[in-house]
Amino acid sequence: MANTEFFDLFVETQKKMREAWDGYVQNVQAPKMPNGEFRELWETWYKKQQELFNDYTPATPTEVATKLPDLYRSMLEAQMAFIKGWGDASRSYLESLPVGDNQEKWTEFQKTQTELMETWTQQTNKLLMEQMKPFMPFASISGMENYSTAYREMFGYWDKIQELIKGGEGNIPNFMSPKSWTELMGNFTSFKMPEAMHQAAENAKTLFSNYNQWLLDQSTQFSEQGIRPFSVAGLDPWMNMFKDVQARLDKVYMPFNHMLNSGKQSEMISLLREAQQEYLNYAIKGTEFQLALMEAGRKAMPEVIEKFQEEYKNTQEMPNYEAFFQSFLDIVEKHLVELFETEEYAKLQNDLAIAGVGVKKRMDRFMELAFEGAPFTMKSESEELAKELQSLRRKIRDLEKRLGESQAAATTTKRSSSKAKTASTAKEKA
Amino acid sequence: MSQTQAPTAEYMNTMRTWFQNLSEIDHVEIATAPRETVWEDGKVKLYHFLSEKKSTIKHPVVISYALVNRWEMMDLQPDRSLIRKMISEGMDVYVIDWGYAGIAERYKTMGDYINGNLNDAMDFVRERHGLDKVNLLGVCQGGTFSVIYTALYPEKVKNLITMVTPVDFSLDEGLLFRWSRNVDVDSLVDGFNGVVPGEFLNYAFDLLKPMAKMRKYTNLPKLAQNKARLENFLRMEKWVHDGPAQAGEAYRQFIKDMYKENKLYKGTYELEGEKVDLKKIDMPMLTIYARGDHLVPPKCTIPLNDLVSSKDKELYEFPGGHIGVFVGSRSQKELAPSIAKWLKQRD
Repeated sequence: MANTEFFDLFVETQKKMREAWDGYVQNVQAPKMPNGEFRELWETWYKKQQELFNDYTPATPTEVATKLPDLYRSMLEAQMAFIKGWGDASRSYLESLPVGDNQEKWTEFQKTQTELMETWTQQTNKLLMEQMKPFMPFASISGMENYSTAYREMFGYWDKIQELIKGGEGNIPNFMSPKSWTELMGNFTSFKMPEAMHQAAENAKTLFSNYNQWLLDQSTQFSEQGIRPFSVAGLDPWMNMFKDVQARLDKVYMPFNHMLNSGKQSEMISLLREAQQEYLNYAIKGTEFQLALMEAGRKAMPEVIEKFQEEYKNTQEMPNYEAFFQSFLDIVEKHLVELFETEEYAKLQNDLAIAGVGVKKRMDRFMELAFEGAPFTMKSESEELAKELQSLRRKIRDLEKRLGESQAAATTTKRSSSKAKTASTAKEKA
Repeated sequence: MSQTQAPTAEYMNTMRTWFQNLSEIDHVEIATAPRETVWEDGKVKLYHFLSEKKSTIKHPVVISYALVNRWEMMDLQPDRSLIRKMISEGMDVYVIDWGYAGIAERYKTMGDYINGNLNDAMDFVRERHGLDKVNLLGVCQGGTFSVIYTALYPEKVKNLITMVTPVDFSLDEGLLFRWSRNVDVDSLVDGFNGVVPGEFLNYAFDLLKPMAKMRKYTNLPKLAQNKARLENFLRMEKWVHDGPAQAGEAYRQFIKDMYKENKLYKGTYELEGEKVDLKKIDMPMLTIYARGDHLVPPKCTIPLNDLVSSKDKELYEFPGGHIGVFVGSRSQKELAPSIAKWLKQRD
């Protein structure tokens, strides 16, 4: 491809991506924005996203020309460093290898390899647990911890609440800030989200950059501890696997180049981008979800205060915090259930869950592509086996059924013919 | 007692007793009634409960529990065990354990569960006892499976008992029904790679009574002063957090055919190409529902009585909630003896 064509295509692609991004952000920006504060939050987030996007995707040929060579250079330097390190290490290993002692060395690197695989698997799971789960609505968050936090947080307002019960002036739903309400209701319902949209964007960025770094660290570790002895022993598939992983890493670090590619490489880039978008979608839906929960909490508070105001007027005795807390639970539950019964909530809850699993699905696929060729069974391969297994089980069930029917029919026929024979013999005798 | 006030001597004593009691409990066990595995196919097992006494009811009872949550709720602890009580009332009890669905089950369908596992288990028990028919007791979703099974194989079922079993899914009053109608089940199942995690379902169940967990923990310090009650609490916690994942295809079919389209109730449901006609249910039938059931409200269980052609049919109202049916004191004192009496009269 000629240089000019490359740049034209590149810039055109950038433009399209930028347009799609702008459209996307404007669309998600349109829904309810109840007050100026929230609008400001959105605008800050939007600007931050634009800045991030601008840094990530240079829009002019000049920028492309200045950034791409650096990226290529860094890439080549990393490759060169790797190849040099590889050569040195291989030579050193071969020199240390005593003649006739191959069996011992073989055993040693087999052991190393097994340990490495275990570490790798553990690290993969750890990464998913740490990076993905905390952001999901179905994360198993300790109920006890949430309870304890909610209880303590609300107690922090107890002096203020007592003043309100005594008949103090004040806007009851608003005596706590929206942020405090959101946190409180999050603890009451075990739902947690990043604090604000700009933080969600930051989290998304951190998530993917951590992931890339982790992938790089793992592959480096793999080359140092695992690939070297295998390759020295002439086991080329291991080296090929590493190269495969390395090649995929390139794709992650060279998205501009990959946009012009096709096949799996392109799929990986798409998956990362889709996952990021889905994550933002999740964050947006999550914020709407939080807002809905917060409103339910704000509706409950005036009712509880009024109830205790009435009692205080009559008795001049302040209820204890326990009584107040229990009463709040009853009334907030009533409002939450009212909310949960609406069609809008059911839809929102569904959208939130679907966005959450959407991120997971894409990251799963990405992981599979990144580790394709590795000596362990992938989830999708297990799924193929599961499909085959289920199909075979159904065939066996069908055959068993037919066999049972044939046997039953044969028994009936035998009985009928036996009866007929007996009848005919009896007739003859008669 | 408040965690936020300055610790008083009373508070410190409460905490001390709590931790003392907790430290004396090494672990808790559930489902301890003696049993043996008599049949298994993959992860699915059939347990036969052992008894020193000979059963006084000739036809054994096969229990089909829901795929959601585990059957152990029916034998949570020795003094709160519907199964033990049923045995002591003279019943010979079998339970199907559907196992923990994983990737191997992701393509398992409702047909595989009902025409496959349930039918095989029923055939095994019939053959083992030399009987053409045995009793079938279905619980919750397992009850829906039992109803479908009985409509397809009426010649194998002596008496049908359904417990808190949803049949009419068109209701608006249950949150689970509203939410399930709105769920994009295809995206959900595919997003979870065909195996829907138990934690995900548990989160939805928690939201049905959104403050129940908060109340539970508020009451915990008081409850934990008594070691036996603390052990009961821990047993229930163990069961609650042991919700198995769902086989994706079966889950997809159940949500679509039942919650979204209400096919069983409408009479349009087909299992593996065979029409499920509830009028084919003509044997004696006992429909047990819980008055205060927030998961499966009575309105979605009672209509079964009008959909079958059985002449001998009875409704039994249990004064409690969904879980109370299995572990409530009335469950032991009244429900199990009533089932035994009903079965004896039709043995």
